[in-house]
Amino acid sequence: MIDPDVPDGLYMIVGGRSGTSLRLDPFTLVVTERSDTTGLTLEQADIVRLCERPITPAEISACLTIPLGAVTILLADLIDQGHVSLRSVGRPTRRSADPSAFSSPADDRQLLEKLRVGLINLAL
Amino acid sequence: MSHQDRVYQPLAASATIPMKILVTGGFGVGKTTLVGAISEITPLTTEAEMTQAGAGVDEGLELRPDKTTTTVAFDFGRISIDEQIVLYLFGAPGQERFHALWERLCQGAVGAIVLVDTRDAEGSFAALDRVERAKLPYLVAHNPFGDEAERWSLEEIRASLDVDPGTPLLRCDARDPAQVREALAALVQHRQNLLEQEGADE
Ligand SMILES: Nc1nc2c(ncn2[C@@H]2O[C@H](COP(=O)(O)OP(=O)(O)O)[C@@H](O)[C@H]2O)c(=O)[nH]1
Ligand SMILES: [Mg+2]
Repeated sequence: MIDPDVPDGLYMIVGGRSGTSLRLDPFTLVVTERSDTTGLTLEQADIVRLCERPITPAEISACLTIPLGAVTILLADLIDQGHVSLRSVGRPTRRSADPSAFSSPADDRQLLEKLRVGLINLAL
Repeated sequence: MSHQDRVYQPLAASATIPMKILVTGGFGVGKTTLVGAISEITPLTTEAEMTQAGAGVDEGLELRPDKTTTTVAFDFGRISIDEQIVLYLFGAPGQERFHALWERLCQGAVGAIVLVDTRDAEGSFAALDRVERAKLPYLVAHNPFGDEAERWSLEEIRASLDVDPGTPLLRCDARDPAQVREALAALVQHRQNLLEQEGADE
């Protein structure tokens, strides 16, 4: 069986796992919750160390030269085990009845204004 | 750990709100140059193994043994806007076929800068087509190589690429951080304007 997002050689890294329901935005922030890396694989331990400061899956992938699909799978396990968590962003949408629905920062007028002003004032 | 990791500059611990902007356009139009001109980190590259898009079969990590896979790399940079907001700029070519990664990348993005080169109409059309289909707010930025800015007025470019009157069109030398900063701010302004219109329509 072939997992479309995980090349063959990576089965070592992801422990043969394939398939997860986690659909992770490559630019979402991940942070470490538990620094103890006992029992983790080398790659997982590397990720836990990197996440001591907020970092995105895209950056983890580039830093460790592990493809994004494999990073996603490793993160799914680390989240399950409580080693790392996603920094939730946005506020509950007022439009949606679903309380778990969060609005994107890109729809937040205040954040857009902060972003625009921040860009204009950016020191180059 | 790899070499890239040693030079990686971590974000401030206070960073909580990631925002993102897509930079797209034809091959060699200056996407990587634009990201590098303004990014606070040396642009990074990440590889994603992905499925070749078939008719509605691309569902991320689901098992699909019958599908062919290709590796696609995209590069990205980062700007810390304030203590909380961090802006990611990612460059992706416009001519690839639609797939789950593109969707995941574009979801929740502020919008896109479509870089166009007047010597490459085909690449420009492909990128415009792509952002239209992704339903992303975008602006068009002409990156003038050589004397292309003298050869083509913005009005002529708008007409030849069939850019909607409501879509901002400007010139932007991808190598110039000040021009890149201006283009990014103009895109955010465009998104704000669209939200205002939406609100007024309700
Ligand atoms: N003359 C000129 N060259 C540029 C400009 N922007 C990019 N380049 C060059 O064009 C080449 C392709 O740019 P690159 O950013 O790699 O394009 P990408 O394929 O869209 O990422 C590089 O050698 C750049 O230095 C520009 O505005 N003017
Ligand atoms: Mg490039």
